[in-house]
Amino acid sequence: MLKQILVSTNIIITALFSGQIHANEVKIDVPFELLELIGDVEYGEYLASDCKTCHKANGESGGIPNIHGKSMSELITALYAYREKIKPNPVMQMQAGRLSNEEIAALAAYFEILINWEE
Amino acid sequence: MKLDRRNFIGTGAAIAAAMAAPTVMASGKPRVVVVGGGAGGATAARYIAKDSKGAIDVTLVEPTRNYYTCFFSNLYIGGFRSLDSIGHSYGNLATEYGINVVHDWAVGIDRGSKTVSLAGGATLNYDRLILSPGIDFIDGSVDGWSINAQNKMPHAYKAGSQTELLKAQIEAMPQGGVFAMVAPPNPYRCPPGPYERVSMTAHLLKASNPTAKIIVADPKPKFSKMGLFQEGWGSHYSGMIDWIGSEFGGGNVSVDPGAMTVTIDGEVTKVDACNVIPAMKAGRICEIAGITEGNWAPVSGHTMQSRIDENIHVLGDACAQGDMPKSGYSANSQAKVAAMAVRGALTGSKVFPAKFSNTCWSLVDTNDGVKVGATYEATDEKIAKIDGFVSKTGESADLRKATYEESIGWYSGITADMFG
Repeated sequence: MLKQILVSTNIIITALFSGQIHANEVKIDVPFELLELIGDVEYGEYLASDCKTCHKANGESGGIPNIHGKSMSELITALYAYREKIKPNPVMQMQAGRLSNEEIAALAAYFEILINWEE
Repeated sequence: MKLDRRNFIGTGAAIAAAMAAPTVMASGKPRVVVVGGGAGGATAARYIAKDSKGAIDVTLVEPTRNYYTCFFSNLYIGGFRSLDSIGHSYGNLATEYGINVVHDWAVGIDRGSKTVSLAGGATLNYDRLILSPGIDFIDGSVDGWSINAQNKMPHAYKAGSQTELLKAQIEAMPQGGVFAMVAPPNPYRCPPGPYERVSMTAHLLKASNPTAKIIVADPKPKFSKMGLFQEGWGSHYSGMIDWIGSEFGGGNVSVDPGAMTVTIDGEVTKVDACNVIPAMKAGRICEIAGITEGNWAPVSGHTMQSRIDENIHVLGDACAQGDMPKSGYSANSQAKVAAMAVRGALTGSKVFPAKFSNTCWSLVDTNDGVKVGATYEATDEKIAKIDGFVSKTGESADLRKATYEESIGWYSGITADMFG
């Protein structure tokens, strides 16, 4: 299990996302209590199976952005932003809408350690 | 999980032994047999094989050697995709994941001895069985139509040659000819499917046969994404499509494939092409296994286990799946829950609470895509909807184009998820 050591202040993260629908730069204030969570990698692996239906293992495909190789902070920020409906796209708002903080952390932890997604 | 040389030789020896003897030799590992290699079965086989890291022997029984997805088959009809582009081989599942891919039909299931009998004569033993056979049609559900008529009036609701046939018949229509569809009653595979097909047929005809007409006889008073489709039909195919719902006699239908007529509420219409989509039930192997109630196989959403036999899981269109629609996306989602439950039961691996989701994308015309989706959870009663969304009428052209492009990405993703 990963240990993530973070600065103990609120972190404002700039998330730059390329994609067909939302090629914009947004500043998202992710709550510290989410950032400081240590994610369960096994749980993240199970939750990630849902992501892989659309987000193809080896990168961008059509109108679906690539999430392979994204950092933990980028993934946490993006999922938080979709869950809070800060970022558009109803599919992602729906998918992220049912994720608790622990589940977001689990997903981020899993993707961060994923070395070879082509399984 | 790439096979190394030693594993590959081991797998080859097992296959050779299976061909020499009527029964698959026991390897000592727990055995899973998956019947049906579509969105449910192929996904389940791949996830069990990959995530168990070789601890479970997986056999996938699928009659077709090249699988044509029902999803996106309408886009082939409309000319947006080639047939080849929606065809997929099982080669990766065999070579990359060590799955025993058997191209045969399951014709019998003995739940007592936990065996599956194949049409070719072999018998497979299982510790857990996953049935994902899709749908079969209910005999006599459309007056005048039977399997003997499917070359005159195709259903094209099991993708492949039937889809090719329907497209060819549409293309061969005379100028000003009539295309009729007999739509199915609820519940059926792919709720927006018939209406995407109407859209794609209209798209095809608009270019080559603009005075042609489309009639839809529907036993339902409304259908999935109805407002969106009707908006699109009005703006893209004005005057071409006549949808006759149940309130207008759309459920009172008979067909005559010999004379090529469709009779709707007593009115006889000569047609030049006709797509009959009959009422549906679970793929027949479920009935043979004795795990259906009525037309479908009841399951527990927590694990996708049959409520009648705990050693059998049922996925996709064949199961009574609560609030989820019968879709490829749903089958793929359910497969992952089942795969996790099966691995947990057979190897003691961790099992997490079931989560499901679905999104259905439909193409109305070039760069005009719409979608509907939801998330679900397992309750003791059923798989229950949590939250959902649907495209809105009046959306911008940019958003509709982006929605269509999203579906292209999804198709690429889900087929990679199914076939490796």
